[in-house]
This record gives sequence, C-alpha cells and structure tokens, in this order.
Amino acid sequence: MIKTTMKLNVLAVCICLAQHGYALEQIDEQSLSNMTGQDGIVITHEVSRVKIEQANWYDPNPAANVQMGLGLHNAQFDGVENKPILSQLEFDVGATSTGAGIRLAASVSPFTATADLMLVKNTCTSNPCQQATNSLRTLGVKSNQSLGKLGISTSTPLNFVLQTTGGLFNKYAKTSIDFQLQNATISHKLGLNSLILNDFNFNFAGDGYMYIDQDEGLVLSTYNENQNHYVDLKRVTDTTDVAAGRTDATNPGVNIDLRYNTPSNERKNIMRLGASGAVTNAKLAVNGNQTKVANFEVNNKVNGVLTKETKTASGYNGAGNDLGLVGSGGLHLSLAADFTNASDTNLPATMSATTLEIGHTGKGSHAIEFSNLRQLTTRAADGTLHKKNAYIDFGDIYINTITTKTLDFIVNENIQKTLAVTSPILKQTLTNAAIPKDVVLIAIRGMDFQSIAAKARIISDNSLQKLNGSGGTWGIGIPIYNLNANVALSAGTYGTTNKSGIAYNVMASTEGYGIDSKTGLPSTTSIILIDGQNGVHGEAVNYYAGFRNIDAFFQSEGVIGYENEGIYIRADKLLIAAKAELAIGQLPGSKYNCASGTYAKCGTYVPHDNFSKRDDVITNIAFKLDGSGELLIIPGIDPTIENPDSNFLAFDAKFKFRPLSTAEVADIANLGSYFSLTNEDIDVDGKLKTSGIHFNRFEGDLAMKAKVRVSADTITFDNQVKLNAGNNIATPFRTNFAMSTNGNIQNIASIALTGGTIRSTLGITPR
Amino acid sequence: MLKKITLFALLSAAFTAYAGLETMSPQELTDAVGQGGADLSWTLSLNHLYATDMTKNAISVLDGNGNATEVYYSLDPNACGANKQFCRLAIAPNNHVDALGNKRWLVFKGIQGTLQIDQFSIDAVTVGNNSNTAQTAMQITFYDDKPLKIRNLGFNTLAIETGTGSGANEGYANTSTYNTYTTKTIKDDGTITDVVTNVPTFDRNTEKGFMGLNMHGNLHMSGNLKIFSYNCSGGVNIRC
Repeated sequence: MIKTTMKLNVLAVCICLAQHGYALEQIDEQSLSNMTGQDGIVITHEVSRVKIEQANWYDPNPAANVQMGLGLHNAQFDGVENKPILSQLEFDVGATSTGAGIRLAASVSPFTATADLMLVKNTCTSNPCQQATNSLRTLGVKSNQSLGKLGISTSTPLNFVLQTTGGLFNKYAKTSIDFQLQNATISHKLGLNSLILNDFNFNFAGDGYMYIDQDEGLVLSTYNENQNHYVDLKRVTDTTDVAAGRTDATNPGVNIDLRYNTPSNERKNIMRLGASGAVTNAKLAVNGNQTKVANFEVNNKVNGVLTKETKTASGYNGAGNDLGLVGSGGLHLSLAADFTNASDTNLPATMSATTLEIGHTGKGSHAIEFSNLRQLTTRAADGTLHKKNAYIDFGDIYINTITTKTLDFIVNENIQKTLAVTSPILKQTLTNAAIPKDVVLIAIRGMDFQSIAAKARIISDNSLQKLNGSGGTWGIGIPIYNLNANVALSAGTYGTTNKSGIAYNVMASTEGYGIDSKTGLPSTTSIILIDGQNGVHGEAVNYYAGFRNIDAFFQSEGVIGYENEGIYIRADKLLIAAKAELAIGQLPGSKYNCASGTYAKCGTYVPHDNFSKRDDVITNIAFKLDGSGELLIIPGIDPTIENPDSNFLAFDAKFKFRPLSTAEVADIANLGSYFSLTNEDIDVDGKLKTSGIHFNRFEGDLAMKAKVRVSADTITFDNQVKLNAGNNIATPFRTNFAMSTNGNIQNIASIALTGGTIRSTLGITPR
Repeated sequence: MLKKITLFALLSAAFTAYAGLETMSPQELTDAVGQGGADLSWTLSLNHLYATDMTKNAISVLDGNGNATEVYYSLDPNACGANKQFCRLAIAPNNHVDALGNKRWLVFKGIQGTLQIDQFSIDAVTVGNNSNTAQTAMQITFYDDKPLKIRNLGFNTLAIETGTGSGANEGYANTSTYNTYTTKTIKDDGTITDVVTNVPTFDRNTEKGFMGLNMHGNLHMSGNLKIFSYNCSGGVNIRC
C-alpha cells in the first residue's frame, strides 16, 4: 500500500486554474509565488511498512568465485503509534554569488526498523560469479553467519538540511548542513537481550564542504585549502525522565548512552559518552582504497633517536596477481575533528567550546564533564604558542570481509621487549583449524585522541537537579596515541546450550610517545590527573600525575554474548602487556610553579618535549598478563524507594594465568606473566643503567568483582579480588620474586598465596 | 593552603553558628576553596567479613553515639576453608630446599586485617631538588583527626613448612594442628607408659606454628610526605 504524491505546486495551481478559469480572475506570476510561498519541488512519501528480504554489500573478494560481504536481512520498517512513516524531500535551486546553489531539506517522521546483521558468503556455481540467466540472483552455496539483530527507532523526526552555494559536490563552494538525528534508539540484540544506544543524538549544524575527490572519495569537511569553518554539536533537549523543575535538561549533541534491555523489558544502565560544542578542522572521507591497510607506523630508537618508521605487514594486499587478503576493495573511512576551547579566538560567538562527557547513566546517576581541552603541548620548541587544538582522529578505518587463518600485526620495540618476543611482527591467529575462517575485519591504523581536559567536573543526570558550581580546578587526561587494531568478528556460540554470540579476535596496540606524523607535535598515550589551579605566576600550573607514555598491547579472542544479568565476554586467550612511566610534573608549556629565582628553571616554561625526558619519572612499570578469563559487565538498575542504591556499573571477572609449557619452564629467561618496577638512569658516561624488582611467572586463578560509583562529589572504586578462586590447594596463586641490575635478574624467593579475599574501597573526592 | 581551609572552616562555622546559615555541601566547599588536588578515603580488607561480602558498605555499624554495634573486621569463618589452608602467605627463599629438593616455606597462616583511613589528600607542589632545580613533587597529607584505623591486622601463626612434592604437596599446603600430645605416666609398679593427652582447649585444633601477630588500634599521623623523582645529572659526585 504505497501512496506517493508529488506536488508540483505551480503545475497544481495551473491545473486548478485551468478547471476554474472561466469563473476566476487570472493572477500574475508574482501573486502566484506569494500565494504558494515557494518554488522548487516537494516530494512527500508516505508508507506504513517496508520489508526488505536482503540488502547485501559485497566486498570485492580475492577469489573470483566467492562473494562475501555484510548484509541486512529481513529488514522491516514501521511507523510508530500506528502512524505511517512520512518522509518529505524539498529540493530547490537558486542563484548565489558563486553560482547555482542547491537546497535539500529532508525529514523522516518517527519510525522503527529492525534487521538481521549477517556476514554473507556465496560460493558461486559459476567462476567468476555471474547472475543467473533467468533471475536477478547469483546462484551458489550460501554460508551466512549471524552477527545479531540491529534495530533503530526515532521518537522525533529526523531532519536534514543541506544548502550549497555552488553545485552539489564542489570543494570550493561552501555548504551548510543541519543534521538532526535526535533521541533515537539504536539496538543490537543477541538472543533475547539487547545492548542499546538510548537517546542517541547525532546533531550538528555548521558550514563546510562536500566534495568528491579522486584520492579521498566522498568527503564531508569543514575546511578546504582556503578556509576553515566551525560545526556546532548542538545539545538536544532531553524528553524523558527529567527531574521536576529542571529547565535546561539537555543531552550532548553526540550522545552515546549505553543501556541494556532484558527479556522482561527491564531497561538497565551501563554508561554514557557524549560530545557537544563547536568542533573544527573536521573531515569525514569514505572511499575504497585499501593499499595502506598493511601499513603500521611505529616509533623506534634508531641510533638512539626516536624515529617514526612505516612498516608494511605482508599478506593484506598481496603483490602482482595475488590480490592479498583484503582483495581489491573494501570500505576505507577516515574521520577526524578538532575540539575547541575557550582560548580559540576564531570560535563563533554563537557557539561554545567543546565539552566531553563520560560517566554513568540512568536515573540518579552522575557523570564527569571534561572541558578546557588541550593537546599535550601548547607551545612549540621555541616557546611560542602553537595554537593547535586537541583532536580526535580515528585514523584509517578499513572494513573488509576476509577468509584467512592468520593476520600479521606489527608493534614497536618497546612492546616487543615487554612481550619478550623475538620479532616485532606478531601473528594474530584467527583459527588453528585446517580451513581458514571467514570474518569481518575492522582494521584501525593510527588512531589518535590527543586531548587532555585541564578541567573536569561532576555533572548530574537530567533526572536529578543540576549541580551548580564550577567544580574546582582538577582535570583528567587519557590521551591515546597511534592506536593500531585488528578486530575480527564472526558468529560464535558459548555455554553448554550453544547460545549464539559474536566471536571476536582482537589485537591492538598503543604507543607511549612520539611526534605525530600529521600534526608534527609530541603525542602520548597516558592516564593522568591534572591540577589546573592558578599558581604563583597567575596562570594554570597544570600539575599532572599518573601513568604516562604507555606502550600497551592487548590481544584477546573469545565470544561476546548478552545474558540476562549483563554482557558476557569469554576470553579463551587474553594477553595484556604494557610499559609505562609513573610520573608527576607539570604539563609542557606551563610555567614552573615557583617564584622566579627561587630555584633554577622557576618561571620558565616546561619544555615542549618534557614527556620524552626523565625529569618527572618516579619509576617505570612493565607487565604482561597472559591467560584466559571471563568477564560479566553488570549494568545498574534505576533506583527505587525500596532499593535506592542500585544504579552503578559492576564487573564480575575470572582470570587464570596460562601455565607455562615444560619447555618454557626450563628456559630460565622466560618470565611468563610478570609485573616489574624498574628505575632507569643515565650514568656519567651516558650509559643507561637499570635496576628493578620483578614478580615473574604468575600462576593460579583469580576472581574479581568491581563496582564503580560516581556521586555528586566522589568517585568510588570498590574492588574485590579472590585469590585461588577455585580453592584448589594444588594451584595457589604463585609468583617468583626477583631483583635485577642492568638486566641480570637474580631470583630471591618464591611466594605463594594459597587463597584469601582482598577488598579495596577507594574514594576520590577531587577538589 | 591549609590556612585557607582552616580560615574557611572557621568562617563557615561562624556563619553557621551566628547567622543561622545552612552548612555547605562538599560540592559548594570545593567551589569556594577553588584549588586542585584530591581527598581520598581508602579501605583495604583481607579475609574479613567486609572483604568477602561486597554488599557491606562499611566496616562497622555505628549507633547514634558513634559506638559500633556490629563490626565486619573479623575473620570470615568461611574464608580459610575447612582445613584453614586458604589464608596463607608463603615465602620460600631461593635455594632453601631439603635433601629431596622440596622447598622450605615460611608460612604466615591465617593472614587477615582491615585498614581504613577516612581522609588523606594528594596534591602537587613544586620543590627544589638536589641540584636546586624546580621539581614537582606529589604531596600526600595526613590529618591527625583522620587516623589510619588498623583492625585485627596480622596472622594467626608463623611456621616453617616443608612439603613432599609439588602442587598440593608443597609445604604451604600442610595442615598440621595441635590436637594431642604424649605424656608419660609412671605406674605404681614403676613402669612408664605413654599417654596421649588432648592439648588444652586454648590451643586445640589451632594451626602449628611459633608466633602470631595481631594489631588493633589507630595510628594518628599528621604532616605530609613529598614524593618526587630523583634523577642523576650524570655529574661526578652523583651516586649513579
């Protein structure tokens, strides 16, 4: 029952005139225009239900007789509250100072949609694959894998307005866009439970350029070579669960509010992330170029100097007639944006600086708002302000469907040393079986999040009254530098009843410190707390403390499932390794906080490359935890009068260290899973001297429970660790204790903890 | 800084007392003080009821006068298992083995304890270091009225145990307890016989060992601790 109406206003009126012309006076063009109030085309489309059996995207496959890709099957679109889905498209063309501009305004009324997300594979009966002569279909053997069920619903109309000043895809003609995806619900369902993005907003308005480029593909950008614009991630009025009397209840312009839905339709709360305010220097590009999926940028010491190198992993792209794993195409996305802060002089008066939010969600919850976002450095090597913004750059994201047993992954030498492996080229094993595995590969290369919040404060959920006050002068920085990752997904099962889940295989690394190749600025992966009070020089001191320059590596494979209690993640292999510096100091570009002349350096600027120096380092930590485990992420529940303290995020985990093989045990240099504290110093001759204490060869199993609570003024971490969780006296938690000087490790003692439960409750109240 | 806080506290006390104003919430206090750093509270518990039961939100229940009506800083009777094997810390120094190569373990049996501190602060300050150069230090401040509460911290007994093999046969798994001892009785006819006698109830069924430790009390500390990195300049008189 599809009813389509096309209104051509002028024509329609003419028809009317023609029919009633004999009785009515003729009106001139001008009056006509005034009467209808517009020209252009309006297309209105109304539909009560749409069903699509299959919509498949086939990724060009190296094998000519195989079609593989992603598909949405059994898709169904419905209107809400028994109303049809009304979509309207207004199209208008008009003269502008730079040519012919186009105005496109589209809106879609509230709707719900569901579809099965599939990894589709068709081994065709013909080689190469061809459509059957008497059908649209390509015949072959289908082997599809289910990746869960996707759903989207909107409660307010989705609006989109695009107005160009010259043509549609013109790099040099400004386009303004107003995109309002507001208060939508996006869900992913496995079995009977779903993970939900509640009140999902992607709401932005601003000027930019939309163009097609032979290298970049389809590009949406706020800048071209000549000019840069600002885009506002406008906050969206919250329409649900708002406290009585709260007038300004809004959610961030980009709002990712993770909830959980159980079969009994109970809505539980996981966490939320958000961004609002003005962003600039933003670009989204989509193309099919896969040539750089094999490139890993790593920072290594070359002749004692930290140098960025681009290393190419084999297998991905192939050579000559070999098309490699990814084939000739796939999806290549890049997305980046700069966050603005109040010191940005170009920020339009109508827009405010960027704020980010992270925290708990649901009724009675609190979150943390980050503002005054800055990069690690504010000044260049010569001490002048470089005025570059904090930013997020997702790097290059490649999405492919591939068939393979292993993938190569390249790490830097710090991670290589931490892992104690002989080669920086690691093998990500997707299957040990004889037959290669079909997976969706999401490859991320060079993702950066170079943003340190010099100011943070706790904010309340819209279901509570607003927390007034600035919240003090503390901040948090979790910058991420050069994240590379391979995420391989396929259908999986778990449990004794073979419940369906998603099998994952992940390898990821971050780099501690380096000069970013795009910005040319010192960049870091760190977890630091900031104290941004004004110091003796009348400006923010920006003290930082925490772990900086984290070279981290993560590898895991297993299954993710949605259970009634929460999200269940089984890791058949879990390897986490990291090397970091525990440090305290002042962020680069701040003035040493002591009256000039008191000590050396007082009143001068902390150098821009301070994070590459040892001045602030208290000690170095390194660890490798290798084993297997299970994790249950338990969402919070909206509080009730009977149970007021129920809305917090909790974790329940088990971890078992991988027992070393006989050959590994015999190798005294094999440290197994370890944790070490090391001091590094340069001696008179410039030689690096190290001394450390080490806990090597962890054995046994642990059970952990954790609760994270955010209240109006305090963040509480409540953790419980049960050692030897299986209470098997033959397998206590054991470790070797050793000390080292300059690389010579001497074993001191064996330590065994036969069991026991340790609980730590740490409350942090920032001032 | 401390002066500021004190002054502020005095002022707000004065206002509360004389002007009848409402007390300020921590949030408002934060705004007024307007400086960085953080106040921390920490509870660390091992094998006590508080440790094993995550539903407990405090280490004790207090009545209106601040006296504890119920405490959770005692050993969880189930924490150590039936043979009390699972509350042990064992250390085997390198190369301390018997003739058969079995490790000699120094076993702390029945380890337990709860530590709690209601408030301590972490700030950053700039100090002059060994080369008289500005250096940032982490300053940890303890307050006299916020003592470190030590509750039943220690171990039941300490023993040196040697096992007969690996895994469950290692020394740390030994479960010997004091049950009986042998006394000698001289009969009327002068013969001496061995009599197996129960040990007194105080020690009966407790784990074997030679020393126990239990600490209970409040440790009041006032002052601050500055932690900063010590870096060698590479000069001739530097220790490294």
